[in-house]
Amino acid sequence: MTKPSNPGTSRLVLGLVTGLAGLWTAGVVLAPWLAAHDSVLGGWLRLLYRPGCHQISNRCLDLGFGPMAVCARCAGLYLGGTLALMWTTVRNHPCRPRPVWLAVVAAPTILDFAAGQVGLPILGNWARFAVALPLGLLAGLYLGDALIEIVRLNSAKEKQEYHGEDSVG
Amino acid sequence: MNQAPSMLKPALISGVAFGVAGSIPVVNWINCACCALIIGCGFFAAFLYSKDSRAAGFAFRPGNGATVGLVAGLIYGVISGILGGIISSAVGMGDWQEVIDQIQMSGADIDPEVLEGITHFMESSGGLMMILIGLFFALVLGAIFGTIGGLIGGSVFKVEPQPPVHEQAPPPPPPVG
Repeated sequence: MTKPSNPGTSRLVLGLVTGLAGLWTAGVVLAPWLAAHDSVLGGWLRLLYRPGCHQISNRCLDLGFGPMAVCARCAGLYLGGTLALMWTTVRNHPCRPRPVWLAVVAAPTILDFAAGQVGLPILGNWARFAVALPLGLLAGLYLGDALIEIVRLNSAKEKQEYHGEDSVG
Repeated sequence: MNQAPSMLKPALISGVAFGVAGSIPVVNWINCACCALIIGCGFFAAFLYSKDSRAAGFAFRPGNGATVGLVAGLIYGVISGILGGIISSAVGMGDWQEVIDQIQMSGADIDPEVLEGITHFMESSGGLMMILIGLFFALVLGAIFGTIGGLIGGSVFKVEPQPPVHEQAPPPPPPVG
């Protein structure tokens, strides 16, 4: 398993990406909250999530102030990804599950999606959220691993260049 | 010495296949789950490139995955933007009308005359504007989500570089006499 050779930089990069992911996920709840408080921003924020989600109201979770800006499945994916990135940032150490797990956690979501397309009974909103959460978690873990690896390789390259110049000078 | 495999081939295969799928009206609903088609496009491109890299004996790392995912996502954007635009302009103003409806539902304080003017302009531009706007959004989304898919693929299908094989020097000949 790869360890970050420059822990400060990798934590900074991970922190930035996690912050962005956190903002994106928070916006999902913020949009209906703003709309419930008569803010025009809520509508525009909801529009921002439009390209990535169908936003059908009865498929969105409702925390008491209207349907969220994305469906239950997308909310699960976003939250899972953000939590996994947070976990990787705190540990500052990559975690790369075996690829077979990706197929295992993706299967229920794919089956539920396919069932909906062919008119079979589908899961309820909270169940769909719960089923998508592990898939988001795994995707977040892989993303964290990829970011740490990129930082590690760049740091190694910089070091190599620095020492190369040093020896020439 | 072996040459590193080209990124263009896996990016093209994945970008074109997923781009065509993304412009077919019912199939592109898959994108409703967090742009799954675009993420899948980057992920599949990373898978193809990792296979090529493995065969050629080269390392495949998340950075390679991100790059090939980005290129595949951009190709996806071009294909689905143009094809999707042509299809939606042939079928009607579906997407744009949805956006207008959503703006009106959100309670945003926009003059109805302005909205009507924009709609009229969109309709009178003969679908070209629809294609250009669709292309722009498809390129932006393709770049972002294709890269994410490529990064995930880069981590999943990582190929470590093979350690150099040091040939052992033959033992010295036995002393004569």
